[in-house]
Amino acid sequence: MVKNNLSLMDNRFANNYVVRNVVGSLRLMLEDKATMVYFSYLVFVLFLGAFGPMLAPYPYDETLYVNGEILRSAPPSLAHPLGTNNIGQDIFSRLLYGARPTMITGLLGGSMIISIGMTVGVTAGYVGGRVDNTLMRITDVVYGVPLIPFAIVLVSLFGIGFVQSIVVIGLLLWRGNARVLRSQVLQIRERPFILASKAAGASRTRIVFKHVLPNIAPMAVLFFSLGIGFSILIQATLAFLGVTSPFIPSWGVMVRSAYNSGLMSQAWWWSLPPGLMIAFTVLATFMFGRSYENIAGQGNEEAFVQAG
Amino acid sequence: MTENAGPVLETQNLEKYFDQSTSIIDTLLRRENEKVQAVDGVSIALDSNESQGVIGESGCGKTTLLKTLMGLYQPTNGKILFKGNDTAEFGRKDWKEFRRNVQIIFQDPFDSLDPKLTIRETLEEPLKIHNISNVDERIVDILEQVELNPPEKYLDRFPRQMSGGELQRVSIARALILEPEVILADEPVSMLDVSTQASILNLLSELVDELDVSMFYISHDLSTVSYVCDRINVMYLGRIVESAPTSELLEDPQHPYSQALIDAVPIPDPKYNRGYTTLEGDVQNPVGIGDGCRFRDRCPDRMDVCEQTPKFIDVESDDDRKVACHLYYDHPQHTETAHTDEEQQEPEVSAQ
Repeated sequence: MVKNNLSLMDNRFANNYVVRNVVGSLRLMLEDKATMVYFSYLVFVLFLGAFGPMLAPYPYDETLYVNGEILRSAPPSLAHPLGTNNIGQDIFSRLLYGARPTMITGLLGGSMIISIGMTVGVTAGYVGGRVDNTLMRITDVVYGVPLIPFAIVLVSLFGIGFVQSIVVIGLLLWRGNARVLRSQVLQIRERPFILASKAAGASRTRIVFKHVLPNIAPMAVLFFSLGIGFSILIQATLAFLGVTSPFIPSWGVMVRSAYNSGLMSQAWWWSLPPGLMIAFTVLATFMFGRSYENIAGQGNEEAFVQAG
Repeated sequence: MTENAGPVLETQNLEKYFDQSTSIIDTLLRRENEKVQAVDGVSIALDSNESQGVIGESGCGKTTLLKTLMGLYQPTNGKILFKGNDTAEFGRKDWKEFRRNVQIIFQDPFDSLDPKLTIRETLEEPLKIHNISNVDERIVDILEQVELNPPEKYLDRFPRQMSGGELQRVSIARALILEPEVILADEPVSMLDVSTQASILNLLSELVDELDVSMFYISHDLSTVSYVCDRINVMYLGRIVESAPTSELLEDPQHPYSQALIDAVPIPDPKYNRGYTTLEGDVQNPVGIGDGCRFRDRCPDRMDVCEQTPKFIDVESDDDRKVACHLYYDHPQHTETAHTDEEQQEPEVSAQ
């Protein structure tokens, strides 16, 4: 399958090795039905993030009146598919608006996590020696920092805000990435193809970018998607705890408002949808990353099997 | 770099020791750990257009020797001379020149090509590093030379789509594409099946002749080494114990270890009744083994004097051969043999 697909792509763009690997792996992954479902779901949430506000029937902060009275905690109806909350806002609209901050949280948090983690991990693993020791001890220290209390402290230092809550996540959660990617690099850098490249006179930069990074890419993609999931999850936690801006209508903030109103159990149409959206989005990113790793890693595994 | 007519690549008394991992307690107590003496006083000279083999059992330091030669390890002691110039004094430019002229072929073809790159990209890399133009032409040429025909068929393949023999041909192509002067081959056929071994060996020795390349061929397999090499060095636990032209070594091995090795080569005749090699014991652990002949515990001809390190001397009657064994030279006093460290070196070839 791969053989045909890859040899058919012969224009320059498709032969760029980044494009080639990503396209090739995606194509393979989407042959799996479950992965196809996760992937479609993620595309759907991304779509909501981009166009949700335009699709929303009402502005997210508009208080709705019926006959001059605020429409408080109305159950789902045709006009309001998910009902309204205690101050008369349309929950369906808020859910659509909420996709955007959630996606921003995921992508920003995930990118921060993977970029810090990968920089630290690859540098430590490839340079080795004292640099490795220093970076890994720093990582150990970061491991010792409890996430939620630290986030609360940082937020109180930098002020409560949407972006702050994401940055806090990014500044802490890179630790796992750094460790795992370092161990990957340690394995790869002793392999003969790296030595052969050194023997040909390749510079450190060239080896890292041409040989090391492409070979840890499947792992990095897995961690990127895990990072997206974790960022969304933890941002929701922080929102629930009230250490993020309550004015940006992310799904986490919606759950918190529902909880605060004391209507958590009565107004299920208010608390349940954002909770489920968070759960499904996180699940989809995790599962998607898993299957990318499974399939993109296959090339190497085959080689190992043959060699062994 | 200055040119001279001496050996292309030469080592003088090369040593590579590895530190064992030290625990914090050792550091606190200032306990010196014993070193692993992987390569210990190796002197070899490789002339241009010559193929030399290094043979020895697993763990005797062959691969360490090769990696040190390649400049991937820093030697602990001793010199590596490339065309008479000490690599320890190399600047950036000299290294680049060295990297262009000394190439390596690894043992495991499945792991010596980057799985994420196509064959074209793999072969392109050395050319790009050394700013060589007409890339496409050269790649096609070299693929033809290593008998991957038609080259176009292989260019856009990935390593996982090729067989071991094909991959090893690509490895050879990568090593030869820069037209180097020296090839270091680390058991290039040991992971291939026998029929492929023969064709790769033929190809390698043909190309080495054709392209005027010198080759260092490392292996544990005497039959492949003798097939390719003009001269064989027998290595035991980090030291060269015997060095001789191939035919002479095979016919008349001098060192007891070489004798045992050559006796152990199977003879493809089931009716032939040969004596079995009886070599007792195991290879020592190369950790802090100190002085003395490395082979003494297993040697059938062990003498008292073997507690001292033997000189690496010319065999009488033949100045093309060298052996490191007390059997082959007279000792003035058996109890107090002169300290032999300096004499162990080969006569220096003029470096400048």
